[in-house]
Amino acid sequence: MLPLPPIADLWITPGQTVGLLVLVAIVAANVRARRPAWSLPRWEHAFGLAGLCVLVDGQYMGLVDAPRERMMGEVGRILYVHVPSAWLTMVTFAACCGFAVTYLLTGRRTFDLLVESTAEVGVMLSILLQLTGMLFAKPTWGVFWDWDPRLVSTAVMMLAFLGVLSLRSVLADPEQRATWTSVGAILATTSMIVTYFSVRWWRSLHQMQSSPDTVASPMVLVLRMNAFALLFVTVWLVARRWRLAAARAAELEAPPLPAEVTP
Amino acid sequence: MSPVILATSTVGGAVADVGSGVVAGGSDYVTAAYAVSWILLGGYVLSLFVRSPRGGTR
Repeated sequence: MLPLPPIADLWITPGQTVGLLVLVAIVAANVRARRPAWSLPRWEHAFGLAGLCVLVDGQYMGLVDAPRERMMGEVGRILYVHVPSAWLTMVTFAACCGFAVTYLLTGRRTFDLLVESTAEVGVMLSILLQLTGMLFAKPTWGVFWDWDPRLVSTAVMMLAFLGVLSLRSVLADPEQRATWTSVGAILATTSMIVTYFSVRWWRSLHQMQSSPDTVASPMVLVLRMNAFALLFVTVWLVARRWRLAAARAAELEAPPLPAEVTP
Repeated sequence: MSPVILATSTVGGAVADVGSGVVAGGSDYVTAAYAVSWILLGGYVLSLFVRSPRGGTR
C-alpha cells in the first residue's frame, strides 16, 4: 500500500526506533532523579514499552509487508487492527468474568478493582473493534452498519459491560457495589458467548472464525504480531487502570484530616 | 463513441466489476482504521493520566 521498504530490508525498524527513544528518555529521567539507570517505576511499564514497539512494527508490516488480500485487496489490511481488537475484547471480558467469580468466592477487594479495570478497558477495545469493523464494512459490504447478528451481538456485549460500569457508578456502599458489579459482569459475559457463536448460530454477513489453516502464513505472522502487541498494551492498560482504581479507593477510605487546632 | 455504446460499455464494465467480487481501492478506509486505533488507544492512555490522583500512581 505504501511505497516503503519491507521491514526485513530496514537497518532499524520503526518499533526499534521508538523503543530506543523511549529507553533513552527513561535512562535520562532515572539518571536525573539519581535512580538506577534501567529501573522502571512499575512492572507494567515493561509490558507497555514492549507492546508499543511491537505494535508500531506490526502496523508497519500490516501496511507495507503484508500481501494484498485476494478478494478484498488493500482493504484487507484493516484485518490487522480489526481482528486483534476482536480477540483482545473477548480476552479482556473473559478476564473480567474470571475476576468477578474470584471476587465472589474470596471477597478480596483487589479482584473487585480488577473487574472494574477489565470492564472499562474491554469497553474501550470493543469501541475500537466496532469502529474498525464499520470502516471495514463500508468498502466490502457497502454500508457502515447493518442489523446483522454479529454486529448487533457485539453492540449488545459492549452495552452490557457499559451497563456494569454504570451500575457501579450509582451504588454508594462499597460491599454492595463490588457484589453487584461482579454479578453484573458474569451476566454480561453471556453476551460475549452469544457474540462469539453468532456467526455459527444465525445467518450472518460476517465470516466465521478463521484459523491458521485458512489464512496465508505471511498474513498469520502479521496478525500474531499485532495480537501480541495489543495483548501487552492491554495488560499495561488494565494494570494502570487497576492502580488508578486502588488509589481512588484508598483516597475514599482515608480517615478525615484532624481539625485544625487554633491556639 | 455514441451515447448508446458508451452507456452499454459503462454498464457492462460495472456489471463485470460486480461479478468479479474483488474490492477495488479503499485505501482511505485503511488509513482511517489505523488512525482510529492510535487515536483511541492514545486518548485512553491520556485519560488514565488525567484521572490519576496527584501522587497516587506513577
